[in-house]
Amino acid sequence: MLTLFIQLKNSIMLGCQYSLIAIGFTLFFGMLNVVVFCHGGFYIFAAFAATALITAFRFSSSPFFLSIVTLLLLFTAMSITGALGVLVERTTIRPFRRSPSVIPILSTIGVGTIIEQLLKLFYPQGSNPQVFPEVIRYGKIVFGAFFLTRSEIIIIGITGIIFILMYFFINKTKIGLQVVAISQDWEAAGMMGINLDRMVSITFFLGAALAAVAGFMNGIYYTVFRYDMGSIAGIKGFSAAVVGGLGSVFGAVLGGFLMAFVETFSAAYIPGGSAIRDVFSFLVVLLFLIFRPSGILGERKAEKV
Amino acid sequence: MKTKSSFVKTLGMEIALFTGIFLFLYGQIWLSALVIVIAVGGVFLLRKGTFLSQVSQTAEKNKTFFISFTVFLLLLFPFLFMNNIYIIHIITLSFIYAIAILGLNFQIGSLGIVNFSQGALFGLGAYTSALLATKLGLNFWITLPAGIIVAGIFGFILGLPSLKTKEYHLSLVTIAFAYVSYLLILNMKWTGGPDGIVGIPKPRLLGLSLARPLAIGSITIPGVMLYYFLVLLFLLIAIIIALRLHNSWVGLTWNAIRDDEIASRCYGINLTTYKLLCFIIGSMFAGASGVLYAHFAGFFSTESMAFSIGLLMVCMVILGGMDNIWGGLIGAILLVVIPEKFRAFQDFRLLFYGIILVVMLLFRPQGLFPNKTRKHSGIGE
Repeated sequence: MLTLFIQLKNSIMLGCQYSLIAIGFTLFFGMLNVVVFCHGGFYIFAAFAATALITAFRFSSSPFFLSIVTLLLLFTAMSITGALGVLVERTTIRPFRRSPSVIPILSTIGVGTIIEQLLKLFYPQGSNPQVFPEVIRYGKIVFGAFFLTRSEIIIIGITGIIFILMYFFINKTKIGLQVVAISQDWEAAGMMGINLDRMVSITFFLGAALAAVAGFMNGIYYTVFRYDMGSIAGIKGFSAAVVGGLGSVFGAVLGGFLMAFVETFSAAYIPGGSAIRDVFSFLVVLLFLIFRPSGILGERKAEKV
Repeated sequence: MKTKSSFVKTLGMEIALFTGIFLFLYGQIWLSALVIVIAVGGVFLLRKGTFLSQVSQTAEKNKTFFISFTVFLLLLFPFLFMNNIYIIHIITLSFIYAIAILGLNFQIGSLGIVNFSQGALFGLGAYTSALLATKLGLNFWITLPAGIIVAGIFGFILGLPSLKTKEYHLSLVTIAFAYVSYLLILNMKWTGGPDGIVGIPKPRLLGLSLARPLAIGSITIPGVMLYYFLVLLFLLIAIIIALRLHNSWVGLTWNAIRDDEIASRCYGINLTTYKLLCFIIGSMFAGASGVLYAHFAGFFSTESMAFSIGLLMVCMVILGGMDNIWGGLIGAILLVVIPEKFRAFQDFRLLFYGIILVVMLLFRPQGLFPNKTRKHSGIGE
C-alpha cells in the first residue's frame, strides 16, 4: 500500500512537468498548426539559466517555506526562456507559415539541436551533468510512514496555481479569448482586428515560460540535470499533448499525467521495466495514434482537399 | 558545334570538381578550408542558385558521358590515396550512408513524410547481419539479404500507422519507433546490450577475403580499397533502383500523394499499397546500408543507431535536395566527409548539423540541387 502511494506521488511529480510542457505544445499547435520540436530545448535552457543566475548572484536557500527570492528567480528564468521562445518563433517559425508541414518540423528540430549544443559547448563544463543549487531547504511533513518533502509540496502548489491561472487566462481575459479565437479561425480572427503576430508572440512567450517552470521543477526535484535531457522531455511532452488531444489545454494536462502514470508504474511493477519504461509510454502513444488519433479530448476534423 | 562546346564544358567541370575534392581530401586542414571557402563563395557570388543549376543543366546535357566518366573517376579515385587509407575509409563510409539516404529520400522527398527512424532501421539491418555472422557464423552473402529483409519487415510495421496518421503525428510515430528499437536492443542480453557486437567478419568475395590486402604483381591493394569497390557496386545498384523507381509510375504516384492525398485517393490511387511500398523499399535501403556498415566497421553498437543518426540522415536529405537522387547522394557525402576532415572540431559536429539544417531551410529550402519539374508527355515515357 505504501509503495503504491509513493509511486502515485512520483508519477504526480513527473506528471506536473509533462503537463506543463504539453500545454506549450497544445497552445502552439492550436494557434499555428505547427509542432515546435525545440520545446524541450526551452525546458532545459531554463534549468541552465536558473543555475547560472543562482551561481552569479550567490542566492542561498532561505529558511522560509517559499521565499520571495525563489519566486523572483523562477520569474526571471521564465522571462528569459519566454524571450527565447519569441526569438525562435520570429526567426525559424514565422518564415515558414505558408510552407508545407515538413519544413517547420525540420527547422524546429534544427533549432532544438542548436540550443542543446550551445548549452553543451559554451556553458562552463556544459557536457557534464549539472547540479541544481538548493533553493528550497530540505524539510518534510510526515503522515505516518508516508511523507511529503517541502519541494514536493511547492511543486504541486505551483503547478496547481498555474493550472488555475491558465483556466482564467483562457476563459476570462481578453488576450486569452483572442488566443482561442485565433485557434478557432485564423483568418476570421485577423479580420476582427486581432493583431495576429502579436498574439503569436504572446503565445510563444507563455508556452516557453511554462516549459521553463517545468525545467525549474526538474531542477529542484531531481537536483541533477544534463544538456541532453531536453529532447526526451520534449518528446514526452509532445506525446502527452497528442494523447490528450492536440489543441486542447485540459487534454494536455490529462495526457501529461497519463504518460507519467504509465511510465512510473511500468517501471515499478513490471519486472525489468525500469530500464525500458519509455518503451511502455511510447507504446501507449502508438496505440492512441492508431486507434484514436485525435486524442482523449481532441475534436475529430473532417479532411478537406 | 554547340554540343561540342557543352561536351568540353562537362569535361572541364568534372575535372574541376574532382580536383577540388582531391585537394580537399588530400591537403592539410587549411587547404581543405580554402576549398570550402572557394566552393561556398562560388555558389553565393554567382547569384545563389544559378551556378548550381547551371552545373546540373550541363551535366544533364551530356548525361551518358557525365555518368560514365564519373564512374570511371570513382573507380580510379582510391588509387590516388594509396598511402593514406584513412581517406578511402571516409569515402567508403559516406557511400554507405548514401545508400540509406537514397531510401530516406523516397519518404521525405517523394512522399513528404519526415521519417526519423531511418537510423533505427539502419541499426536493425546491421544487428541482424552481425548477429547471424557472429553467433551462427553465416556467410556475408546470406546475412546481407537477411538484414535487408528484416529491415523491410520492420519498415512494413512502421508503415502501418502511416495509413491512419499524418504529418506531425506520423513524425511522432517514427520518433517513437526510433526510441523503442534503440531502448529494446540496448537492454536485451542476446544483442550484446551496451557493449555492442565485436568481431563482425569482413565478407569474402570469389574466395578472396576483403580483410587482407590483395597483391597483384608489385602492387598491393589494401583491404579497405577492396571494400570500397564492393560498396561502390552496391551504391551503383541502389542508384539504378532509385532512378528507375523515381522515373516510373510509382515515383509519380508518390508525388501525387505528397501533393494532395485526398485528391489522389479520389483519382483511384491505392494509398495503402503505395505508402507501405515507400516504407518497405526505404527501409530495405537502410537495411542494406546498415549491413555494409557493420561488416565494414567490424563493430556495431546502439550508439550507431541512436536518434541523432536518424536526425543526421534527415539533414543529409535536406542539404542535398528533397526528391532529387543526386542531391541526396551529395548531401550524404558532404555531411560525412566534411566533419571527418575537421576532426579537430569534433565537438562542434552536431551544432554544425543543426545550423546547416536551419540555414538551408531559411535560405535554400529546395536544397543544393533542387528537384526538377517532371517532364511527362504520356504514361509510357
